[in-house]
Amino acid sequence: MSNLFEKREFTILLVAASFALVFVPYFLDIPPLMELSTKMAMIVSIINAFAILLALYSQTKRSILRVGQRLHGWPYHLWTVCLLYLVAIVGLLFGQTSTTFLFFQYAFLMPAGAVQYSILTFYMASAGMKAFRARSPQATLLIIAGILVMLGQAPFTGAFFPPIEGIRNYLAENFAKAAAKMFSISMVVGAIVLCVRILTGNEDQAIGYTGGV
Amino acid sequence: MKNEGSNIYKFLSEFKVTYIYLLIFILTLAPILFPIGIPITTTQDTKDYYAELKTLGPDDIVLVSWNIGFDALMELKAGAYVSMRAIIASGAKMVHVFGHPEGPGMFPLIFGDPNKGTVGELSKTMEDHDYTEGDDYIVLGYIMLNEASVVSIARDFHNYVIVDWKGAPISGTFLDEIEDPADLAMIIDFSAGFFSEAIVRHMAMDFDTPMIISSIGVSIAQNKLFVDAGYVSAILGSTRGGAEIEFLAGQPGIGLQAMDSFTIIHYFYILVLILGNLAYFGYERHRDMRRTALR
Repeated sequence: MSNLFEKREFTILLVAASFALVFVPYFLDIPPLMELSTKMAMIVSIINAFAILLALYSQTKRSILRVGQRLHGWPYHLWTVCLLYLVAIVGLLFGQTSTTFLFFQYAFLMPAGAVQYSILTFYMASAGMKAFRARSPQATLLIIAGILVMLGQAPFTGAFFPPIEGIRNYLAENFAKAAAKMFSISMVVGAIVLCVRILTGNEDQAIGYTGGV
Repeated sequence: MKNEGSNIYKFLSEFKVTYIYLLIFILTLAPILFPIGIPITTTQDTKDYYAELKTLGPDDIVLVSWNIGFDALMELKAGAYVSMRAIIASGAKMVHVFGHPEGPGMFPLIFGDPNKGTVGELSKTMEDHDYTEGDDYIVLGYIMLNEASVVSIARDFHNYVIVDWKGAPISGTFLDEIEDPADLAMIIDFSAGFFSEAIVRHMAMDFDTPMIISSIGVSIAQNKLFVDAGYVSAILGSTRGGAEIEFLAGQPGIGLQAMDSFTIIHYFYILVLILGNLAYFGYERHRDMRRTALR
């Protein structure tokens, strides 16, 4: 029996069955199958949530290694691990709405989030002054488009020169959306190709085999 | 390249970014301390979003999904405050879910916590409309952990969620009226990515629930695809959208206040971009093309 579970074909069959269970109810109205599919989604959701334990294990292992070897930035790793466990313990003991748990959110996460977000402003200005150069026709077009969009985005320009709003909208509604569509379609096509490759046994790594049969 | 020492292009090329950072700091801070009141225009997207909000009434239940943390809240809070005030004023009930682990900390900043006596941005509005937790809004907490959990919430809500974020049972509340997303009047998603697309896919698409999105700047184009496809009714775009909706609602606040700095910094970026390119064409390009003994 254990041999059966080790077989590559069995794993692929299991993946195919799971795939069909979730995929088919979208196209065929079979209530029991939909119910089964929903139960499966719930199981996956719970298993996925427990994957945080894996992340915890791998971060701890990595950080302890760096601290032990006194590698560059080791005090930050020590600090990360200490906070990680402290927040987890406080959260488990007192709950997500407790003042103690929220202290960590307000004292560490909120200022860190604000800094991380606002620091982008400085990076962008630095890039604009030092790196964003019209070295090619494409780069020149990108810079011109960027300037037009920024002009349109600034409310003052639109208030005194309304056509700029139209130009901004034209660029956003056509070029930006076209790029977004291309990105979305590529991702979906990529996902379908990957699924087909897994189901036909051509993508061994995705199902836990490191290559070959 | 004569007289390189006094060349303005060389000066621009070697201009220290530290001074640019300092200028950004001053240009951002100054209009906050001394507001200018720069005029603003409203886009059709914001008008559509606001019109959707105005359709809500006292019999409606709205799902509010917070797919943002503290960082993106900075960008979306103006729009969030106006949206929430509009719902509270309409009398519609709200059910809040988080798709970000910072949700439990972020939510009390907006709604406060009556049990602890903490005050949020909307506490006064809620007090004015007698809008209370349990009767008018319920917080389910951080339950959108992954796409599969969004599927479970959509298809099997009462089996997946049995208590609110404080551990109180949800049975016996207005959530008894919700069997699946089709029973919701609307979904409002505050989106920085995360599970917004999953909500569109498994709630708006599968159950035809009207949905609007308040999106951070970088995701606007992506989220607008759902508007084109007809699954999302309207998008509120970033800080600018927040300022516009404040203007439309006649509730000037942090969004409109930010527009002074927002405008000036946009012009400053354009200036920096132009100066950087002048430096490139006037000095750097010639410097890079020059033959040296090493080549």
